[in-house]
Amino acid sequence: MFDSKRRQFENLYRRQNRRLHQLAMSLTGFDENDARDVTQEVFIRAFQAFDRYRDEGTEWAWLRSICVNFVRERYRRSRFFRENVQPEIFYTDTLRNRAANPHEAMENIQLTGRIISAMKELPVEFREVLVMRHIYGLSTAETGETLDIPEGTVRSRLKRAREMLVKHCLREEKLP
Amino acid sequence: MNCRQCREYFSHFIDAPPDDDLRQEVEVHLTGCERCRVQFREYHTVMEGLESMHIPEPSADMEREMWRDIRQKTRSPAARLRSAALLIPAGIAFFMAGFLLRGLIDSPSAIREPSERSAIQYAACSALFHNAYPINPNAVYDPADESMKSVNFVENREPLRLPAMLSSHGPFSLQADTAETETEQACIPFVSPSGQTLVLRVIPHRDAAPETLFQLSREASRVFYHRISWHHDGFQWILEGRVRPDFLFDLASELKSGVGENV
Repeated sequence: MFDSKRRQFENLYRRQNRRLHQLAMSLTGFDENDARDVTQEVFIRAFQAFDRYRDEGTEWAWLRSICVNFVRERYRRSRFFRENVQPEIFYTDTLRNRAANPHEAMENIQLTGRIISAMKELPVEFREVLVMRHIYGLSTAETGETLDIPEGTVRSRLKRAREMLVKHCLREEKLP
Repeated sequence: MNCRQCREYFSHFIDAPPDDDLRQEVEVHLTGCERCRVQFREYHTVMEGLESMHIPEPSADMEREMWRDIRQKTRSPAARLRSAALLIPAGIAFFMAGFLLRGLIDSPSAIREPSERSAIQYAACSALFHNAYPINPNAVYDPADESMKSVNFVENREPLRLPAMLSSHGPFSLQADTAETETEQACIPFVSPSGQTLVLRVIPHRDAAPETLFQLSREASRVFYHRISWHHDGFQWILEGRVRPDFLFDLASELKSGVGENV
């Protein structure tokens, strides 16, 4: 009985662990160590609730919802990220390849760095809407459904989150 | 619509459908206002940057490690009891190993020299800087480990902007004038097979003392990200690790402000 459950669960892990890790990466502000912890914890929680879970067609939505809730719980408890953890380095290949010259490529890489650092500083409720809207390309309505919040709240959070992100990245000066 | 209102609706502009009235008002304002147009372009560039983020998948090693930990934490009650019996001898062994290693960790040879640390930082950054170019004519495909390696710039004698200290200081150097030393000292960046991780190899002098290697390990932990390892290729020791991103960004700013010199 236990072995059969274990086998099914292992298959679920194989199917979804990469995708879930990517989601955890973005929700944790691109922190590989945190993302790893989150991924593991989500699968542990999924295992504990595995008996109640039946519909394989919705497994991603199920895991995603556990992940979103766990990240909220984790970062609301400790508002700020651990400073001693360095994020995984990764390039925005699209931006890099679009650059016309090395100088521009370096500027793009710097922008990526600023985005990563800004995302780390954002409160989790702002970070999650940015992730769903811009990284996963969901509409505001879909973002609301995924995060279980009203669409109006998604829009207002998006507005504030974008302003914070831009301010951090560009050190924008306000118009007189 | 004035400029302030227009900026208030940047977010709305991004989310609203093309036929939305407010969005059209913003569009009209942007058409006629250069200042807001510039601001919106910057705003949009950041959003594009976020959308272009390529989020790496976990490596095969990490996948295995995560599964091992998950399996461990979700074991059946019977399996937990069995492994508990093994904990006692393991604990004793761990205690004894810690006792034996304490002397080594407290050794005076572990004292850090700031100049060495800087040398390694600059080496790491400079290596990254070269790898950050979109087109690296020296990049070669290495079928041995299926990775793209940027050619060791020591061998190519590319003009580098590095602090002079690198040529005369530290356990390794990036400057090499003779064939004899060329193959011995290097700082080689390469991109992992997934294309997402920058790995740096530091190859110290062949005759480096054990203390130097130990110091290198310590300093590497500050410069590199993690998974630092030593391995011997049959000829020399190689220190390898992922590079911390903040050094890349620091270096980029530094190079733009003209710090450093050609070697």
